[in-house]
Amino acid sequence: MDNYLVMENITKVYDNGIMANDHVNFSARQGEIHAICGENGAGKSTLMKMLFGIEQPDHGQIIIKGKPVHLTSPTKAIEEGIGMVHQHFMLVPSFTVAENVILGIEPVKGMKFDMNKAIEMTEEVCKKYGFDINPRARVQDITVGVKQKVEIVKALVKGCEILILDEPTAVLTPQETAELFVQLKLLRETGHTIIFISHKLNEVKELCDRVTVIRKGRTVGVYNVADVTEADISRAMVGVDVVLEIPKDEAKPKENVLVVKDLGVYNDAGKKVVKNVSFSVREGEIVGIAGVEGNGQRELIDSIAGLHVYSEGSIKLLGEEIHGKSIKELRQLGLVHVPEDRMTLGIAGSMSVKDNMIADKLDDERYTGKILNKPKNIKEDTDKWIKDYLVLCKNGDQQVNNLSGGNIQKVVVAREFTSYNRLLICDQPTRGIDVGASQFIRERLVKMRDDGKAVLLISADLGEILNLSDILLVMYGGEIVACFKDVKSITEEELGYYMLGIKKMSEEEIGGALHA
Amino acid sequence: MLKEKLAALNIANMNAQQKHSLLRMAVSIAIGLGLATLLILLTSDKPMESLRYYFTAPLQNANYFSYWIQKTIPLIFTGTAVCIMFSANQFNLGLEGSFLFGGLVAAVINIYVTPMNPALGIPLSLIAGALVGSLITFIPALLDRLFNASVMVTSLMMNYICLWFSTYLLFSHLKDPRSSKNSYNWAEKDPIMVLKFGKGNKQLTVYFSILVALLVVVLAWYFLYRTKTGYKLRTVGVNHNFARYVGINAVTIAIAVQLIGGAIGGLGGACEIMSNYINYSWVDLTGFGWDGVTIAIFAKNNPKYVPLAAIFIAYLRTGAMVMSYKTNIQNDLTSVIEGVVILFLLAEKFLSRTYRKMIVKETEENRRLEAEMQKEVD
Ligand SMILES: Nc1ncnc2c1ncn2[C@@H]1O[C@H](COP(=O)(O)OP(=O)(O)OP(=O)(O)O)[C@@H](O)[C@H]1O
Ligand SMILES: [Mg+2]
Repeated sequence: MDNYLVMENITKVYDNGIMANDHVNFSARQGEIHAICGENGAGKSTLMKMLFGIEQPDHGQIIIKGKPVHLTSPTKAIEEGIGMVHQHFMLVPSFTVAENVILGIEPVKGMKFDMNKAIEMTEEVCKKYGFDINPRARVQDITVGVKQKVEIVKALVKGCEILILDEPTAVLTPQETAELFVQLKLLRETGHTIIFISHKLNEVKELCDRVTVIRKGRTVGVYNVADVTEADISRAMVGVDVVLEIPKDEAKPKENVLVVKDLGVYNDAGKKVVKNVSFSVREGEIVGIAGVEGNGQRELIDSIAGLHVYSEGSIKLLGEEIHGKSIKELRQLGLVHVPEDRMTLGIAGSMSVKDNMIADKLDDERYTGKILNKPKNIKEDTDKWIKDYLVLCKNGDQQVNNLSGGNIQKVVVAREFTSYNRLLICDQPTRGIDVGASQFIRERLVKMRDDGKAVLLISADLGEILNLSDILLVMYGGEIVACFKDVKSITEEELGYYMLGIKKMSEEEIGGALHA
Repeated sequence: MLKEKLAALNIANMNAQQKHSLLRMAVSIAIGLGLATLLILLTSDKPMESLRYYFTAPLQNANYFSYWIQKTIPLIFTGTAVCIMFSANQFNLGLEGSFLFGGLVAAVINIYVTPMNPALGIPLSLIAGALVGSLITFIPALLDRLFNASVMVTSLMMNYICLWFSTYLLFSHLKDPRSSKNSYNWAEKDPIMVLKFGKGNKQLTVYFSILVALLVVVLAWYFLYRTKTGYKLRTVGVNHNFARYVGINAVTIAIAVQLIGGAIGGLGGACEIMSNYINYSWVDLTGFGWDGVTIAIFAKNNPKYVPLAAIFIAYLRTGAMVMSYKTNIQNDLTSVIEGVVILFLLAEKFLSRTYRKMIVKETEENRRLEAEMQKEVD
């Protein structure tokens, strides 16, 4: 059935006059996994938001099973059998899994919410499609991988036949990704159509049947995945060839910049989440931290970045204990931080790109005088950074909110990399960024290292962390469980064992992370 | 060449958004005024005459015109104060208290200092008004800091503390024994900060406080959009987590903002007292503090638009005042109209479809031009 799902000549103009989709054509068959690939800001999420009724197209029509439909709201889309898992999670953390799953279709008994029925419904769907989830667990206590599954179950409970996944694997470990893929293939067998957005082309190759490539809001083409290589796809996406591995020389580390010793950190709920962690980062080296999300990395990084108070041990930046120092003082010492959560921490959404880029440089004499700012200098430099960091925007005055996910990330990276720095904390620096731009950011990181900066890198992208790190630490259960000094020799699979806590190195080996 | 053309396109694009913003404002106001007209037609004995007063009174004679300006000035002060506080997302509602106390302090100084030494008394009362005004908004900010008490609640309570305290002071200390409700006079005939020309209907009053008000607007705009602190303040207003993460001290900013807002309110109160009274007699909140919120909504938190918003609201109020005085229609009509207009202004979906049409058309046109230019280049 070739008119199972057809999006025809779709044009979408956002309120700020950005044409995110320009006569895009897209179609999917029943029971296939169909990838959508394209650079940041190409218009992938936009196209899917229209299919899910969040945005309305300005031209064109959507046909489902041969019948033109008007999807004016997600409710309508759900009625037509469409489900969507968004780029950013949309779960209520304090609710249980079951409560989240049935949100919007709450079963009632008399006047009351029927909790048992909710659990029953969740269990039923889990069982039918082979998901292993505890419906009674609170969402705030489960791992990212499970959250991802909850999102999918949430769509399945509402009877969706077409499932949209917007970058579902960006936050997953290889094992979790593999598990997800098994499940998605199962869904395909039961006749579900899956639309899969990802920047990871190897995943597209492994999982998908067909791929539609979008560039700058226009459809470039539709290919059978079996007939094309990863390089073919990325060439179609950007129009030029891209390198996947960043070449780098041997690191020449010098003095210690960051020294973390016997660190213990409690989270807001009073639970000890970082235990006895010691390591150092020296000038001219990249230290990577791998680990499944929720194993203490967040609190560790927040403590180093001055966002979280630690209670045991010490953190020294350039020889100074940072306990009690304000973030401003830390930044003056040379700390910069690309945070993982760009939406709540990394940007001031309704301010301009320009304003966001200089937000941490307000005390710099180049940008502000005694009383007044210096708009000319601000504009001159931010315009340059917009170009340097390939931020796709109309101009520096555009609201950051209106950029695509990846371009928002570039704004954050540009701001942090252009500040005075000795230690760079990069938490998922290329999450959601397309191949071309990721390559660019990684090259920058290596260059910063070569210029003698200390870099602390956290990434869920194992390819990235293996490629960039000079020393690689693995965190599990709040502890460092592995310290690799010869990163080139590790395989992703072996790394996975440490990340899942199946293997652990000896105290001695782990102690090697700390340079006196 | 190509760049210039592209730049021009961007400006054209901005315009669609601005044009639409204006259109929305205009339509909202038109609906409000239409409703006013309808209500007047339905309820008035002399509808034509009422309408004439309502819509043109401020322009009918010098006296009404002066009244219009008189009503504009306090709105400019409180509107600007609210713009600054709202820009930093600080919902301090203590402006009523600041305004009242600013007036009270100015009155005290005028009673005891100005008659002897006007050169000292006048500036002193303005400065003292501002200082006391900032104290009033500072207290809730401090309580928030120390005890985590909601600023919105404490600042509201603060207003009533101010009211009762000032009333007490008036009757216990300031009241002239020869009068039942006024303080001692500090001037013979005319208030200090005005000059009056002509008589009766033709009397024109020149308010010097409007200069102070406009100066405050200009400074406030510069402060918000051209200084480091103003920048930090807006950042805190948009996303305080982000502000903290880039090293901005949000607490200091929040307190500074409330001090500044209160100071402007207090200064407004002082100007009000010195422009319109020769003795002190306030026994009620003036309402200008609340009006500040209305004005800030009209002005989209940007001081630049405050004078325009203030003059517009004051115009309607003057018209309504004259109308109620001359005919049988209630003065409250303006409140209804203001409410309706604000409702439409804040309704996001209102007229969004026209906007979609405008922007889609414009963007498609731009795309076409861009493509043509690209061809030229190739
Ligand atoms: N709410 C919005 N308002 C205005 N413009 C928007 C909005 N959302 C997206 N855009 C713009 O539309 C374009 C396409 O964005 P979209 O989010 O669809 O990209 P994407 O292909 O999903 O990119 P990414 O890989 O970075 O997620 C971008 O240029 C972006 O700036
Ligand atoms: Mg996207």
